[in-house]
Amino acid sequence: MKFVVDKIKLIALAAAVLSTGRISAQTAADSSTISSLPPIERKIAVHFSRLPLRAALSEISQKSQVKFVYSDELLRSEYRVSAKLADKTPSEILDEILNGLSIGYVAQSESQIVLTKKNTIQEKYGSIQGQVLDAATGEALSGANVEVLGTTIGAASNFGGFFDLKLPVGRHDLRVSVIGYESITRQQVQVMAGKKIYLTFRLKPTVLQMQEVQVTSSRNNLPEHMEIEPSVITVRRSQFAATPTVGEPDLFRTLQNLPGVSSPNDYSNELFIRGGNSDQNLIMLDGAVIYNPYHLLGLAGAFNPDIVEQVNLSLGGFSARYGDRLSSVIDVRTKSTNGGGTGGFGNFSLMSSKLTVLGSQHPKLNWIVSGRRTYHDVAASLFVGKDVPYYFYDFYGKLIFSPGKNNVFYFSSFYSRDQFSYTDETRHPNIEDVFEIPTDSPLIPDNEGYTSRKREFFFWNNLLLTAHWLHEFGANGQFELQFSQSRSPSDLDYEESFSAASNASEATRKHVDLENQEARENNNLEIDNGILDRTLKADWTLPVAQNHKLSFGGGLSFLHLNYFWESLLNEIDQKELAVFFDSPPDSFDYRRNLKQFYFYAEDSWNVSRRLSIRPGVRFEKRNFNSKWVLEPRLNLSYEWSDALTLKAAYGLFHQGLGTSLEDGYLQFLPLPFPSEKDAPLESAHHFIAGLEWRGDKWEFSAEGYYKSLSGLLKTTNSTPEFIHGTGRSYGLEFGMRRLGDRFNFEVNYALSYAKRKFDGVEYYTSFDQRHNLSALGQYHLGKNWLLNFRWSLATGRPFTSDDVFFSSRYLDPLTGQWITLPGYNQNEADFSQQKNRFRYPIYHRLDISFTKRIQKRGWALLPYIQVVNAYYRRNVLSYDWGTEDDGRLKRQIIPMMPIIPTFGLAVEF
Amino acid sequence: MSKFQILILILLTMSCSLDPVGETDATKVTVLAVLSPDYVRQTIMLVEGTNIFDVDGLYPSELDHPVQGARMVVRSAKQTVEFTEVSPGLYQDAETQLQVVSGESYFLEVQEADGPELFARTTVPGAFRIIAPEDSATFVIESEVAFSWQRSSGAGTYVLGRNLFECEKEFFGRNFGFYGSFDKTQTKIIAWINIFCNSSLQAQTFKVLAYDSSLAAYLYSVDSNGAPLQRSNIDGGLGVFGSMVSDSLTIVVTSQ
Repeated sequence: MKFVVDKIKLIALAAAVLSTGRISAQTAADSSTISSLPPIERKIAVHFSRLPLRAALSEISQKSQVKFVYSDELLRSEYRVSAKLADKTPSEILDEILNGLSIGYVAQSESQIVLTKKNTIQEKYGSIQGQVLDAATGEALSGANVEVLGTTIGAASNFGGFFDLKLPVGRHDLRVSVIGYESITRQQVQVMAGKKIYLTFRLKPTVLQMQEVQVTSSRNNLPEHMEIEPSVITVRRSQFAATPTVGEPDLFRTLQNLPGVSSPNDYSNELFIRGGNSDQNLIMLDGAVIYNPYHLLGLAGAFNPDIVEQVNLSLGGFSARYGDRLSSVIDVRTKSTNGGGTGGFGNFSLMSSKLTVLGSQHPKLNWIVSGRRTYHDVAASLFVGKDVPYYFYDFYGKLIFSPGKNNVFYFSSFYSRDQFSYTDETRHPNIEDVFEIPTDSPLIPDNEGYTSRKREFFFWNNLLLTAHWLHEFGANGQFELQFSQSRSPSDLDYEESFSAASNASEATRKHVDLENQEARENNNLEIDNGILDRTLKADWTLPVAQNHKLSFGGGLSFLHLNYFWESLLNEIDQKELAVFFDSPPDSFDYRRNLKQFYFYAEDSWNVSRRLSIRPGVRFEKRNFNSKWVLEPRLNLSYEWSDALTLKAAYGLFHQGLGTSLEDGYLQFLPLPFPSEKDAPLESAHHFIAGLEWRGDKWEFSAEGYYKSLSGLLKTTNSTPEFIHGTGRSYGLEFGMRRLGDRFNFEVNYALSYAKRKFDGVEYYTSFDQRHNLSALGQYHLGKNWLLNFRWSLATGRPFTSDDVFFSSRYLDPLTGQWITLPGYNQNEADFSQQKNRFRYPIYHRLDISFTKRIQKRGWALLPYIQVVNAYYRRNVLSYDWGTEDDGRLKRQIIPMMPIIPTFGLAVEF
Repeated sequence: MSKFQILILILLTMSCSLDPVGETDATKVTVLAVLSPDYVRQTIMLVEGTNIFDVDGLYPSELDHPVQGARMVVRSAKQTVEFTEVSPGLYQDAETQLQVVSGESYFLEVQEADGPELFARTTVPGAFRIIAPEDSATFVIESEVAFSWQRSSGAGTYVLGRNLFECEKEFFGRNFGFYGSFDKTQTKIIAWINIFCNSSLQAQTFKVLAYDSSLAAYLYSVDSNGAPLQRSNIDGGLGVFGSMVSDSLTIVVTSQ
């Protein structure tokens, strides 16, 4: 299909969803009125019998407005043709009536078809194929206008930046242009008969483009099935790099800026979306589910932002193709191509290094490899002289094979590892150092000695493998088949041992033996957990009737859960796992093999030019739960005007595995458990309504939501048994964005409520932040200097703190008396009635960054400096109590992040 | 200064506070009570503590005060005994002795003069015997001794310790020296016989205590930081209403 898009339409497309499907929906008008489709796409009905070809062409032209160009000599023969066709395009009708004749045709524009002899087409035409890319990043540019100067021939690049033109033999001047980039003209391109040539156009961004792309989230480049949904946001790679952060640009920290998305504190990357727990988010990388998407105990995300092309975030009411989660879909899509040659980028800072290289030595084969490693361990040792035995690294590789125009194969692999390894060996000259025996005791010899050895080793990994086949049927839809394997193992070993010196006394040896026994029985710990998920899924999208596009598919998942620990008698270790169990057992050996099956169908129906609806249904069955579930889904979109769109959604969602995490603990060891047998599945109803308004420089959005939840898991004192509760969350979100030449900014405000109810007691969750305001922006300072800032203001989070303080007392078991001692004790109040009654103080923070772009031929340097918490607001993480020098009690603040400056260097080549 | 700038300044000023916001009506009254057949008189302490956000500037000794004038009754299947306040906040079965028997359940009711009612229950663990070592066995100082005892039904925790001698009491500030506490499933332990002052080369009296689950939870729970955290079984209040049984034996300690 070839058509010319003028600049006015291009601006509207850049602000709306860029999708050929959406364009078709907009212009597939009611056939009884004048259609807004290009003439060459209009579907008409014809009925003639042995009509002269010329007359037949006239009828087709009259009905479709297509103009036919041909020589009189060509139609001198009185060809007579017959056809009885309905709902066909002019090209399809020509295919029918010219079948068997020596006449062929070429569509030269959206309204013109040239008829000629068939052999002439091959003799007189060749084709130009190619791709349009961002010269700075290598990203594909869709919607780029490719014109053949001096003609009405042209094309627009598709989602992958590709275009295809059929041109007469000869030399032609081509010009490629797109908003925000400097256009390129290539002169005297030679087109040869029957031959294809391949060209790549790399467009340099203008200042305007750098500002527009980097500031705001938008709905550009959404997958087609997400376009109709109200609560969808797309975030591009350039936005991660622009968000000031500590050390690493981070995908999840960027998402925390969005309305409806919050985190428990500065140190956590967990996402609580519209009052949903963090384990209720479906997080996918290249379509594969990832169960532990964090590094550094949740402080950083597992994904290197450099491999990410964009993230499609659906905050609720999502498509029936997604399920088994209650809250949201976070679909991370990786980069696909560099369009020829080899290029990449790197980043080197105080805390980490990373390098990404993309290549395409052949039009049919593209690849990307990326790796990063932090060196907190090395940096801490060098700069502060402390041993921090922790680091993480990750690798990513992807191969894209396109054997033909309609088939693409993707193979990708992602591996991440966090590791903490610490060994301490200490020589103790005297046993009274540990055992607090009076030094003047006659039984303790001098110069005795023993050695204590502690070894802590902790790691957790992610390993993803995906194989994906995409087949395009052209205008008749597409088919996708994907196999994925996701593994998330973790392991923790803690071991203490003691050994006496060779000349140790009998007393020392006995003490050492006792301590070894104590350590073996009570202190040593082994934890070994893992989740394995193998999934095969298929999706079809087919236009089945006028204005109807059916999507359906299904999937089968095999999951293996393996949770094991031993020797958990140490109560401190128990409490670290108390997020999953109120009182975890000393030993635990839990294995499950689970299967889940789903099937879905939904119809994208363009009821009219303005109204689109998408009803859908999803069926799920799990082999570990007796229930099968049917989930209705409905999305509506109504275009009130070119600028204003109203949207609404409803959906029912279920989740088979839950972690019972609620209070925003760091994701130390995520352990999802299935709702087994007759236990209720966790479920949620979503009700959403909103509007979006888009102007030339301003965008505004408003949305309200209500979610009711049931079957929510909560731990008991038995393992792994749960009680079930309910919840509800509701709120309003407002967003405003301004796209300017020099200054862009975005302001988001959310009013939200998130509650839970267990055992008849309702309370606010720990992530219920009543008001949440964020402002982020970008200012071009000139001379390629860029300022990015982010300011957040939010209500404090709820917490439970109804402890009561008492003087410390000791029970004398001989008399039953309680003896007062120096110091104090705390008693835990009955928090079931008092849960989350308090709130921390108001939270606010400013982050800023400065970046300079130094462009050289073929590569660029980008030094940057970032400051997190620029005015050093002491936001409260929690409170603690201690005593002053005179013994009086004093409340102390445990703060969130202090002011943290970081600097580094990014390289693009 | 524009109105917008003034508004931002007000917002920032208002948000400078680092104090928490909220209220609680959590009770602060605490019962401390352990019933045992070992005690001639049963004693119950009633105090009121201080809310967590009101403790700034207080000394630990100022954190609680006795609750006086409460009506306190302990019921069993065979008795109902009203406790008498013998000193501020301290209540005893002074007039009628409460018979504490292994295996029996006891119910506490407390009615403050101007406060809510408190309720609690405890079931005294079953009687048990120390099996090893034998009573009056002799051991050399610094040797290891294997203690074992029968299981006590209803016990939440076992504690091994011994009565301290006067020189040890002075050092440790208590009457009883703890060797350790053990899970209810554990009925054996190896202890190292030690002394802390020369006068201890003589008979040592060891005791094994069986605490009921409520008392065990109160004394041995820890919070997420590993700090002691008293879990309460008082309905409407804080503290513990627990019970304990014990057995003891004496061993002779020699220098070699």
